[in-house]
Amino acid sequence: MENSADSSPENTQNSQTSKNKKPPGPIRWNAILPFTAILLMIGLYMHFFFDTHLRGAMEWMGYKIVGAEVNINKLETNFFKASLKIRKVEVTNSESPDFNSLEIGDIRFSMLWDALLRGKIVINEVAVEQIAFATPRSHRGKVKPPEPPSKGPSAVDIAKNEAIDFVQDEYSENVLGDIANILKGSSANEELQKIQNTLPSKAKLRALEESFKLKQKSWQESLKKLPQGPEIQALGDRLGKIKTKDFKTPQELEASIREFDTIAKDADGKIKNIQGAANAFQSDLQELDHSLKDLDLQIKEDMKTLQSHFRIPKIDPKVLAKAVFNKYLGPYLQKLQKYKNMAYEYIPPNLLKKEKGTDGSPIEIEPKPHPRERGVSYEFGRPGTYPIFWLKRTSLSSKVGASPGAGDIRGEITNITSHQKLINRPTVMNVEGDFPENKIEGFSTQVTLDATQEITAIGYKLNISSFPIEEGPLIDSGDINLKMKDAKGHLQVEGTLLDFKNFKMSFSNDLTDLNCAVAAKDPIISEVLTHVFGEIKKANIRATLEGVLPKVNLEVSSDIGELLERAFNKELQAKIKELQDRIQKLIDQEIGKQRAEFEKQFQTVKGQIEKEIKRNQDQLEAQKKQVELKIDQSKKDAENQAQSKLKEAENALKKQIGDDGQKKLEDLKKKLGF
Amino acid sequence: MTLLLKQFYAFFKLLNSDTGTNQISSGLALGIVLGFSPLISLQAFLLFFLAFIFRIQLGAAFLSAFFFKFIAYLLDQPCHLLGTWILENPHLRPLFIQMYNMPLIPLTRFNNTVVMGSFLISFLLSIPLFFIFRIMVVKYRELIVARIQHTRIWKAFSTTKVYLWYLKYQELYG
Repeated sequence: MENSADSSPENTQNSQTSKNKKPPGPIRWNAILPFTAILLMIGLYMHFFFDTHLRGAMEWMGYKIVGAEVNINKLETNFFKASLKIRKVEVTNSESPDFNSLEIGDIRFSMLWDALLRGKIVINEVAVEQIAFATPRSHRGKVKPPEPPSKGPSAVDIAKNEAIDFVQDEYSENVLGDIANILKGSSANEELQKIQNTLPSKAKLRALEESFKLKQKSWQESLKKLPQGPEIQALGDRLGKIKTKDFKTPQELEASIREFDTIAKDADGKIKNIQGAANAFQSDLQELDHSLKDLDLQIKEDMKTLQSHFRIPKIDPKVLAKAVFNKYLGPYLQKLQKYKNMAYEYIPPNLLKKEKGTDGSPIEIEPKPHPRERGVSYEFGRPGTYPIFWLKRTSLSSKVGASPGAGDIRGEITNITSHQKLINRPTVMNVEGDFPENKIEGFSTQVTLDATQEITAIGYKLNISSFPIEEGPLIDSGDINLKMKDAKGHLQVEGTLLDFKNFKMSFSNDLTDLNCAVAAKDPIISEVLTHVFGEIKKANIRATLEGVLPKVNLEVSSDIGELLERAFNKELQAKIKELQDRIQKLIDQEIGKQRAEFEKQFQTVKGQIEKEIKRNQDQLEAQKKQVELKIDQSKKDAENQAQSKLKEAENALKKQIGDDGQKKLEDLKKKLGF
Repeated sequence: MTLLLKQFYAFFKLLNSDTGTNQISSGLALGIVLGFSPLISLQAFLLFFLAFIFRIQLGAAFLSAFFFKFIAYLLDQPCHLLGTWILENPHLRPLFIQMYNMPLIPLTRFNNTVVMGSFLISFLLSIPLFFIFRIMVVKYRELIVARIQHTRIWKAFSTTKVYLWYLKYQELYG
């Protein structure tokens, strides 16, 4: 480098100038000014522009979450107090964009700097005031267009579709239409003639008959192979020829016993053959019995299919209640579905996860991983410390008259947090009030979210003493039009959701001042509906929803269902009975008769074969017994002969040796053990 | 943008001069940590502050940070594994609980596996790399700059009016 410095006089001069300069120290003092300028610019931005930008960001996020325009009139932040004030929040009703679904006059809160320095957000109290529903908007709100179809459905979409399917599957809206058809009478006979040959039970019976014929053939062949009478008789003849007494030598006895053994073994072999055939036959019989039972089940199934083909309705109050209130309950269920989807989308993932149980003091809480785009963030909590987010109390209040549509509301939400175990408190919401402008009285709700235990539990209660029910159709089919023109409602909803899966809800809605309009093409239906709905002024609807999400069983009952049942029963029972009898007759004619014939044939063949097998078995058993008897007889005879021979020899010996010899013989016998 | 370009220009000027070896090396070493750290975090803010206050070559720091940001992206998975291993270590848990509940420390986002792994790797690399960069700068000056300055083209260029004007400008405005 020195060479380069020498290369020109200018460079030499330059280096000399730099040598005269004082070498700069390690701290860049001249950077303080630009640094201060940057800080000042940040401060100015925060003072003049941050609030506007935050407001815009919040409106945009609200639009994305709610799916409709969200407006914030004014937003103020204070850095030193870490506070936020929001004035007039309007959330557009996506179904009716000229109105707000929710309007909040004021939201105020301040965060704790102590927590912010620890990277957490802790708010002592949020004040939410002047809450109003269904207020008119100054301009039509923007509604988010439906999402373009994606390649694959998201988890939320799948849950949504499942629930909608459930709602559609569960309801049988056209019960009253079916009743009308039955009352009209239909060309059931012609239709029955057409479908009689397509009944699955008939095909099944045909297959069973074919199978039986094959089996029958196979049994006959097996029977032929079994030992017959002459063969069994031959065994008896062989037995008769064997010597059973007057054995002269032990060899003779041994030869007879050997012969008996051979015959017994032959008899055993034949018995085994018969037994094997009997077992195979029994197994075939069991199979056929099973097929007959299957056939009976198929016949019952066919009965049901025919009943549903002819749409024979169930005159059941529950079914009738469902049919009448299907449309009325639809919006409630859709709202439930909407909130479920929102919850699945926005509930923090850690709330959906179980944690290991904690014991002892101080409780050590397992680090909670939060999935992030890059890496995983752990929450190293400790009881008594701040969670990442903790809103201690939200007070809700609103007074009638402060703004149009505002209600008289008071309530609070306590302990909204990202980690309930750290603070060991559940989130509880209690709100009550009235909305005189909307004629809603006695509104109260309580919601509890408890994730402090092993299983996360959500409990909810909603009560509205009185609310108006707007005009709307209950049944709107081609034949029947039933409309609820006016009514007052009393609503009670209560339920639980355990572990975000086990759902339970009871819904009770009492309607008073009921006013319905009925129009039906069929005069009987018209008369019955007019009679039922024209006279009643009160009605109730009870619904229970229970199950593991997303499969929820719905039970609906209503006193209207019972009234309809009573009214229809008289007119309808005879018609239904008539059609049911016709179907039964068809089944009996087409299948019942053939089935009975088949069973008769089956029983006959079964009896014959069983009898044949038994006869052969008995004969063989008798021969076998005979062999055993003869063996015993031979043995006994040989024994008697041996005894008498021994006695004779003894007497002869006694004569030869005299008394002395007798004594010696006795001693010898004793010694030998006789 | 002008400020940034000025810093890059200053970096190349300093690299080709015979001073500021430590400034360049420290800038490059600091850039590694900066490149591996998340942009919005307490440590990134502190590193910026250090780079501004101390006489560290900013151009070198920014260039190094820019380059190592890509390397950090490629090393995300090993960093995540290292971070997971450290954060799940039961012996270190009391320390992490303490740190997590202290003021300011959680703002470093040390509890994130990638941040923890990246910080450890970059911090451990920055110390030896400071010395390696120092040697490389010296070698660059000895072998490349000196060789270029001995070429005929450079000698011819250094006698041109343009170059003389440039030197004059340097003398007057620095």
